[in-house]
Amino acid sequence: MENIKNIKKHTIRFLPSGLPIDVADGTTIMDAARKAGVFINAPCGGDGKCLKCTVEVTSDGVTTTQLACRYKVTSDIDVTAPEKTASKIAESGTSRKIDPLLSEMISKNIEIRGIEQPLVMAFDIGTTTVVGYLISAESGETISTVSRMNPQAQYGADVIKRAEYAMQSGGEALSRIIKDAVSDMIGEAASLAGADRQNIALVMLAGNTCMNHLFMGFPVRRLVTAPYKPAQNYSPVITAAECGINDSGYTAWLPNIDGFVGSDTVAVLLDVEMDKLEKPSLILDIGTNGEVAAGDRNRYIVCSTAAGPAFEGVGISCGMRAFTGAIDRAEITPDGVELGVIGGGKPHGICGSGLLDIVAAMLKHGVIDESGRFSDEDELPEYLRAMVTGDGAERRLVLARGSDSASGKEIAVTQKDVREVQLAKAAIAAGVKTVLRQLRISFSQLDGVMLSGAFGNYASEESLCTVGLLPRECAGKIVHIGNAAGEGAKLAAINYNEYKRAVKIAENAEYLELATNKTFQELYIEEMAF
Amino acid sequence: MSKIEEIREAVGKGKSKIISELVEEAVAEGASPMEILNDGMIDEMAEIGEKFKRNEAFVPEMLVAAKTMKKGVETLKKYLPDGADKALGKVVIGTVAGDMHDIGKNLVAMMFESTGFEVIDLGVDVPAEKFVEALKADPEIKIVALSALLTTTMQAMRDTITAIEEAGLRENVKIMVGGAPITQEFADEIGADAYTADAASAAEVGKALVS
Repeated sequence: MENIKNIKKHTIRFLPSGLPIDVADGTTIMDAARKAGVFINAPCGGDGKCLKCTVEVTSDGVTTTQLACRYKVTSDIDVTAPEKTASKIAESGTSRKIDPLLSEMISKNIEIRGIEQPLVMAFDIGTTTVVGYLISAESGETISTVSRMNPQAQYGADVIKRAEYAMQSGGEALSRIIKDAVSDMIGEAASLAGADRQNIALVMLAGNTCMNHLFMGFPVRRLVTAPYKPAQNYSPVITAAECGINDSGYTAWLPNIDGFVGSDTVAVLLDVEMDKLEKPSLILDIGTNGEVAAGDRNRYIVCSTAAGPAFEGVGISCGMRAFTGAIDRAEITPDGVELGVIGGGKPHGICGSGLLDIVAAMLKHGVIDESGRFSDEDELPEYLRAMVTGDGAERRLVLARGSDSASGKEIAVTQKDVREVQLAKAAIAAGVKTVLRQLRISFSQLDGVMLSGAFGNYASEESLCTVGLLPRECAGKIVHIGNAAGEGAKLAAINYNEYKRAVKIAENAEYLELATNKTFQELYIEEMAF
Repeated sequence: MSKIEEIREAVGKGKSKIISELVEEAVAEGASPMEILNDGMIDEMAEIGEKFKRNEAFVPEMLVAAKTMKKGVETLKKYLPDGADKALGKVVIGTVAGDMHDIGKNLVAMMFESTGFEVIDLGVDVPAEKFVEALKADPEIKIVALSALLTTTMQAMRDTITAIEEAGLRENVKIMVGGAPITQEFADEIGADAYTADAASAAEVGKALVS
């Protein structure tokens, strides 16, 4: 601290907003952006590994491309962060119609304040994306929907990185940044609907256990190191003012089930009416973690599989999230590769559903074998030989040459990418099988397979069965249920009885810990092959 | 194809059902047991390790090959001089405190075994004291191999090394670390003797460390 007077300061201007911030010499752009509240995506948490945080740096009139997490500021600079692009976040699901009913406590308070058109709001706080719904508390209709990337991504893409940050530097920054985003989104949703944000009587939140803990400022150490248990499953109902997200109304969270199965899963189970299902069903919510629930109303088991972010396009050489420019559909024919690109135009990268399609097509056409190994030159079908190149981990199927891609860089699926898909697919498939075994249910006995979440909604049934994420017996039974977590949170926000029902559903769920489960470990290895 | 080549192929392809028979046949035909072990099995496992490093082979292939070799060694054992299959010495391995991840650690253990080490596996979520106890109980242990998969549990590696130092046992052993979040930089920082990125390299480096 004795040198504090001698530290040189520099001014960074973040474009296009022009927001200036003064930082000490040697500060990284990433740290400066965090301080300034500017969003720069950093899946690896700023370790210089993922190379996703590129920004344009202009210093003395010279512009270069730099990694925000590595570039240390030594002069006054302008920084242009990449433009935000349209994102394919599953916002809507299959709505279940219920009558509005606020809890007595909340409705009384509204009466006291004499609000004429009370509103409620529901949030699905995902690790990656946050979706908010503004709802009329009188009609139960959704009036406006807002979504954005979770700004905590600046502290790492996965929950472990963020929890680690909270453990080292305290949880305040992570709590504040998500609460600020929620507050912002409340304002945005209200202004979209032409409503007054102070008429919102209740904000109902759902998210995975770590998102819940980081939002509420609960300790996370036990959550991310053995025994992987939550500090608490229930969050207190507090005023939105105390929470710091609105000046009036209340804030409530749906309960968590356990360390790796949070209130977002409870919301999914409320949406599908787990407590009423007569026949055995399987419900999959695939995100960074793959949450699995199966059973019927009498007995249902939930677990979480560490699928990793491959199906979200992260950790993949040409991976990207489901934004404009992402390849989200693909097929191989004897004439070459047919690609579907979000928003049309040249592809920029590959998102989860596109990756799944490509890997399925590679299997069908013998580009890879059942072990996941790339075929040698002479094993490849003739029509694909020109498209497969490279050796070892770099052996790859080229989908678009530099001249055909938006970035000018080749887009390909590498041997290493295939391995990442195998790991993700194995974790989910093994999780599903372990739960069904525990319940003594076979796939053929399942009445339905419900898929929720962005990847679940865009993944093709055929490709899911080809790579073996789900067995063939499931074909024809697969139903896409949209953002079921969001829908469930909405139900709980609108109707107090649904909220109480969700609490019961959480209480009655059996939690299965996979980390120590021998069956899961064996199946996990087995399922790595296609 | 010679019998030893057949054994190599059976290990490489993970044909555990025929390996015992092939070993018996090779011995009956007069092949040297040491040659069967070294050329038929250890070399082939090293080859698979190489393929794994190049991403050409994956976890399941490596596991079935290691299981096949294990079965082959069991059959071969009665023909080998005492301890020939564990000639490189003893390794104690475990996933550090706070971390329950098993699979990576098991792969490393299997590769150590396939290279000719005797492996003492302490399991997962292993407190530092347990490593110290294991070292005290068996002074012949040459290598301590620590695994961690979470960035949050990496620090437990440092604690384990400190505990071994404080027990005055650090000089006796080489300490190796590995797992997804571990880097060479981190290994140097906490005073480990070696870091390797994958199971095959771990066994290779382990062999170099003791010879």
